[in-house]
Amino acid sequence: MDVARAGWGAAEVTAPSGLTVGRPGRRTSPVRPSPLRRHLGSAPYVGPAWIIVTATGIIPLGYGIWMSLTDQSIGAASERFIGLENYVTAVFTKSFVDSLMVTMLFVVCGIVIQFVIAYLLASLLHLQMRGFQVFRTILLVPMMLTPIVVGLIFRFMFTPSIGVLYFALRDIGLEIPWFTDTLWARVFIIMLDSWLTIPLLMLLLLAGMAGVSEESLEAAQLDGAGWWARTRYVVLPQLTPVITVALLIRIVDAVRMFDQVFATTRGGPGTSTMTVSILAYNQTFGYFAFGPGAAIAVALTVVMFPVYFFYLRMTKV
Amino acid sequence: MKRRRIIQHTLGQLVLIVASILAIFPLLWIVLSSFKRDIDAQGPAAEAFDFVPTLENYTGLFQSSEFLAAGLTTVVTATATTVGALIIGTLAAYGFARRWIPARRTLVTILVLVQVVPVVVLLIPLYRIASTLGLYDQWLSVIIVQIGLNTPFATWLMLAFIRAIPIEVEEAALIDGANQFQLFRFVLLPMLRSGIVAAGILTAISAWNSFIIPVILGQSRTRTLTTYIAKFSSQDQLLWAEMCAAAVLIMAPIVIFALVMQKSLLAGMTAGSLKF
Repeated sequence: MDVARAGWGAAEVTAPSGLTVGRPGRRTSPVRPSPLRRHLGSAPYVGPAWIIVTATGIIPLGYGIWMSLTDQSIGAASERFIGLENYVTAVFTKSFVDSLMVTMLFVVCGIVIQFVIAYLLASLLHLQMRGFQVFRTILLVPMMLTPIVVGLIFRFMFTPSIGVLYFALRDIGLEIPWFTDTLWARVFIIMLDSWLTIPLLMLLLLAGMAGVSEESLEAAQLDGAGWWARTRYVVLPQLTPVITVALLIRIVDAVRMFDQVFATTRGGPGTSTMTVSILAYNQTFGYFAFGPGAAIAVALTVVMFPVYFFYLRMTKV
Repeated sequence: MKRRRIIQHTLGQLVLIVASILAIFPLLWIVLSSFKRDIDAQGPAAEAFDFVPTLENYTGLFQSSEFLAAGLTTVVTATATTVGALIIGTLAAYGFARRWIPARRTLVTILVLVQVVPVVVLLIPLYRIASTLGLYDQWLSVIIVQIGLNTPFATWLMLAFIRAIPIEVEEAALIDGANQFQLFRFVLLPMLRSGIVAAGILTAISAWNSFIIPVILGQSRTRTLTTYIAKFSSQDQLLWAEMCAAAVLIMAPIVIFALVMQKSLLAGMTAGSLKF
């Protein structure tokens, strides 16, 4: 198709196919087919998506909410509606609140650390110094790796008297009990999660930086603005949309984090790294308490509602 | 001024070198360890090269029918998931970009919900539904669920690429008498190639790396490579060297694939993530 010719005659097109441009849902065609035909006309496009997300997302979610209101367990012959009892016994408890705190700790500390490092690396790559493509390629690799496998690898490298990094740290005087101490186990999880997720953040920030206008930076420099002033008043405001999106993606993923903990500490020592996801998993598959497990998972979903709301608002469709 | 710049650049390079080492060291270490006997794999870095290389970890894996079956399952389910999510996502994206859709906002909300919901809430329901339908321990159940979970992202990514195509191109094709199929096949698909490649790689990474879904939906036949290697996490006596060899074999295909396609991947990540 000749793209140069494409503009020709566009104004006369009455769009018999029902093509639309501009605002979502607004048709440019003056001829409106009957409502039934319009509904059927869109079915081949969005029908499959409707079916698949309903089958694998909405129905299971609804079923999960129903389960959280019943007394199901592996031995129970029937499932009985018991109202909010599971929420009383499993959600309004110290163990749930503790696990929520652990989750929030991982989310907040993890994201702050990841953002600072990713910003530093992105701004260095943005300078396009010699060999920056090689650095970019290497720095992106962790993003593609399997979280459960990386968890095992990290566990291997940090296990006392086995792992190479345990020995390396011991040799510089830091003999760290990674998996038996509350603080260090948490540091370990944050470190593992950061290693996996910094590349994506770095990539997003890098893409955002490419869009920061050179003119405004030069103008600021001429006005005598230093590095911090340029970052604070020129770069960051222009990066705000990218940072917002990156933050939302990271928060959602950090709250859902499962594989990393499952492959390494499994919530231990004690409950030091017991996130809500792990707690729900243990209730469900460890104790076969399906109702309480579902209640915990649903509670996590509800707690995250404000984030989903912003996520939805950011989705420009 | 000039000297300050040189110092800054040197420092910057230094930081990038250190970061690159931190990013790549675990991988190199795993590759190295995978050629050692278990006893040699443990120990400080000073003794890293003090070993007799062996292939027994790899030959052990390739002789294990369990591992080979897991590999086949991973390849099949990841491929089918990628193809399925791409087709459904591209069609939906085209609908969003160019068509009037009933209950548009509802569909967007549902897609976002599926994208963000904690997977742990879906596990038991998915298991129950699969059992009821007789799909427990079948590849098909893993494929369907993975397609569902990956469709939202594929849709947003393809939407960004479709929006970048001027509508005049399609109008011209229609004026020239193309039907819907010809429009898709000969006009849109060629123009969307880089977007499809990007969405394909990202979906493939996600499907290849997924762990908990295959665990929930089956026992033996749906065992993928990730669930195979997870058994190393529950054993008391860990076979570190064999675990390293398995890790290399699991991660190598997807890393090589993604690095070869790096350019499209970068374009796709940027387009998809920035525009959602």
